[in-house]
Amino acid sequence: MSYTAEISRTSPTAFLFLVDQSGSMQDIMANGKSKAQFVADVLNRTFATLITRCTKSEGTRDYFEVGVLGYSGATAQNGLSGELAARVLNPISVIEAHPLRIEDRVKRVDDGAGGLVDQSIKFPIWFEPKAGGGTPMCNAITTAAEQLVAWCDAHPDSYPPTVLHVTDGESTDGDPEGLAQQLQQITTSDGNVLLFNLHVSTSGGDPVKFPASDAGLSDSYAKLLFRMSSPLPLHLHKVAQDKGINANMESRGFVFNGDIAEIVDFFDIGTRAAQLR
Amino acid sequence: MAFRILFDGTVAKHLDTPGENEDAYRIAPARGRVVLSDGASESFDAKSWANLVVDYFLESDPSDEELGSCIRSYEGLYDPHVLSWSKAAAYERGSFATLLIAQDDHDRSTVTVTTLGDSFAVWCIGNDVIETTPYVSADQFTQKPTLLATRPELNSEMIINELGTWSRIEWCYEQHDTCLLLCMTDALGAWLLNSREQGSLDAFERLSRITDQKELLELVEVERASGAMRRDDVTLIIATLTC
Repeated sequence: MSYTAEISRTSPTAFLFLVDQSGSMQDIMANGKSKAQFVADVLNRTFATLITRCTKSEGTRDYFEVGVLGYSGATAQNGLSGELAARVLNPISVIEAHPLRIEDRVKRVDDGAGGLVDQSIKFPIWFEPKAGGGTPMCNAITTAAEQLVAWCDAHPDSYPPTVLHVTDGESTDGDPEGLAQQLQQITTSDGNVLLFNLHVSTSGGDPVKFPASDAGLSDSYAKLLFRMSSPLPLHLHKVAQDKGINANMESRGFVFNGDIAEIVDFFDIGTRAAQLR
Repeated sequence: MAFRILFDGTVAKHLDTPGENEDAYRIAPARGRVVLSDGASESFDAKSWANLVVDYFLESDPSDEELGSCIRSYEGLYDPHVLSWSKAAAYERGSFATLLIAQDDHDRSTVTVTTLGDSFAVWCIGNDVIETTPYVSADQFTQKPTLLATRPELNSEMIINELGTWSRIEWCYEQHDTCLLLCMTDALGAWLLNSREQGSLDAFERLSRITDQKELLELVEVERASGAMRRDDVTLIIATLTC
């Protein structure tokens, strides 16, 4: 059975984030932030959550390797900088050790008496928002495939890598469907690379979350992204269902017209690989 | 003697790092009591938490007050203000563990097993498995169990004093010469139930015949290698109860 490999320090898995940094990512969302800023916030929070899951009293265990490819203009590049620029996929302990900075932010939390109080929290930043130029999606998927072929060769029995792709527009360097299919043909003995696609929107339309078919999708672009998305593995159905999403055996890892809540859920569901050991 | 321990032992998930074993157990033979806890891997310090849990509940029955004392002892181990941002976040997220308490009542010839989470007990008369708790089928081990947490608000739904999500069962040995009680952590329990569901009737026999640590280690390693048993910390305690 696929997607059941135990994730351990000797057999880690990988998460690769593909982030559209084209000009339209400057558009403002309902929360007043640009799409680029909000995606960066959620991505940084996702990194922190992954690190927290791996951190024990003695330190951060390398259950995951994590990376970001940002794409805009005509190229796809490592989205992380500084100490993390040398390679795309870095062990999670290296990510933990090298944020760009740690900001002090305020979170409103339950005060236990029916009210809310401000709580100061540390918010590490690894990924900065950026927006400009075209949408070289084919280049990005090809670069991701190069990284993941090498990763799977080095980790032949691991839980396969998950690619979380965030975009708000159509590819400007060709049809990405064939490349997306090829990306998903990269395998470990535990299964094929998973490609989950999130379409970010400021249109205010109803989002489509983890659909089982393309029947309810409004246009050919949405249907293309649906076809480019992997089926949701069985253990992620429950994660999706816990968030009120009606996932079933046919569901694909795809959200269309996603706004704030959908972006957060997409990253959360997409990074819940099997249990850590 | 009515209550006698035949075997107790544990095998870490990785043999080269036995110190990372996050299972903990205590036995009070004179009082006929076994307490077992399995610390969850996704925890800041599951090992310390599981050990505190068995220490506290060896002496007392589950209660909100006792759990509160246990949590305060855990909180005394760390000052989150001096931890790195990632350790502070992991500490804030919490540590989690199961709890299984088996208590013999010789006057009534009964043993009561109380569990929270997926630590598992088997009741046997002769060579027959009579009953299991809290699960009866292997697929139940894939559920996300409710665990004792170091963050008090996460325990609020458990309502210990009213049992709530706890499981409690009483087994009687009055009519029988010898009964066996096996207490174990989830990887072993899932393997046992799955083996039986697959028609392998010798799984229980192999388990109940274990008398030393080497035998437990061999069984665990063979079954891990074949893929039949998850790689996780494994603990087994076998007790016999006689009238």
